[in-house]
Amino acid sequence: MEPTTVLPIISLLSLVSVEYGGWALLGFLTGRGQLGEFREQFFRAGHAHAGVLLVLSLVYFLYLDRTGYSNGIQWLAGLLLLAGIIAQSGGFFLHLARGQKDRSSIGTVLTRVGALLIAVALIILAVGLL
Amino acid sequence: MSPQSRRMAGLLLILLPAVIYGGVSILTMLIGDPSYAQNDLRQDLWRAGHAHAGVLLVLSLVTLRYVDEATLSEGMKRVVRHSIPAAAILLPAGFFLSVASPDATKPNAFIYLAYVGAVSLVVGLLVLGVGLIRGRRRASEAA
Repeated sequence: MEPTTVLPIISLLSLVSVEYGGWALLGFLTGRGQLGEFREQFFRAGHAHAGVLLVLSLVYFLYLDRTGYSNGIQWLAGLLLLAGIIAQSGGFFLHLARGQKDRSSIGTVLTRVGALLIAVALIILAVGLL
Repeated sequence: MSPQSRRMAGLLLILLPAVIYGGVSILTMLIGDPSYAQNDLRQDLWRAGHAHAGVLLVLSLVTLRYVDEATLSEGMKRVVRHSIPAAAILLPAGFFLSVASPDATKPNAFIYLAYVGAVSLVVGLLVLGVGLIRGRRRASEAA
């Protein structure tokens, strides 16, 4: 199995769940139930980051295919990126469920860890393209 | 890249400056228009409109690279090539037009365009996803 043919499929199908989140968010903004400002901010951040990072992943896989990496390294890099995206944006949702305003929480820690994973994946790709 | 995909990509690139124009307009209003700065709902939806226009146009451009590789009939490829860009227009149009009036406190019926766009996006994504899965099967059978 080629990682650069399997992983984009996961990204595309994940985008549908981002849309479901956006659907819910629009409901909150236009008056069906109120989230409150703190939760709304983090919901928006989670939704926006998930969406834009999944688009990034689709571009990433196109370039990953151009590196000379073995399938094993490509799997590692691609899964690292996807894990980072889930952690980074999922952290925002965890924070709105478990965290408090102006305090760090397990959610914000997860967001930072995810950002780190994404950075590592991006560096692996950059090195492979050199 | 197929000629159909390339033509759509060109069209989308020509549309992108409209997103920049929208961003400049929103920035100007945020800074200089007190009535805009006070209307939270309008700010929420226009920000959403600008963000979705930008990110969905980029998504459209990227998916055009994948469509040509998918195992789909020509008709289904056409569906994918049009439904994702259509969402990039319908979602923002719904967000912008639903609170076009400066003193709107509730979105008007144009907000349904956003839902239509969302459905169009889901259809495009699912068809493309299925097309790529089928392509993978075919490739592994050939190998």
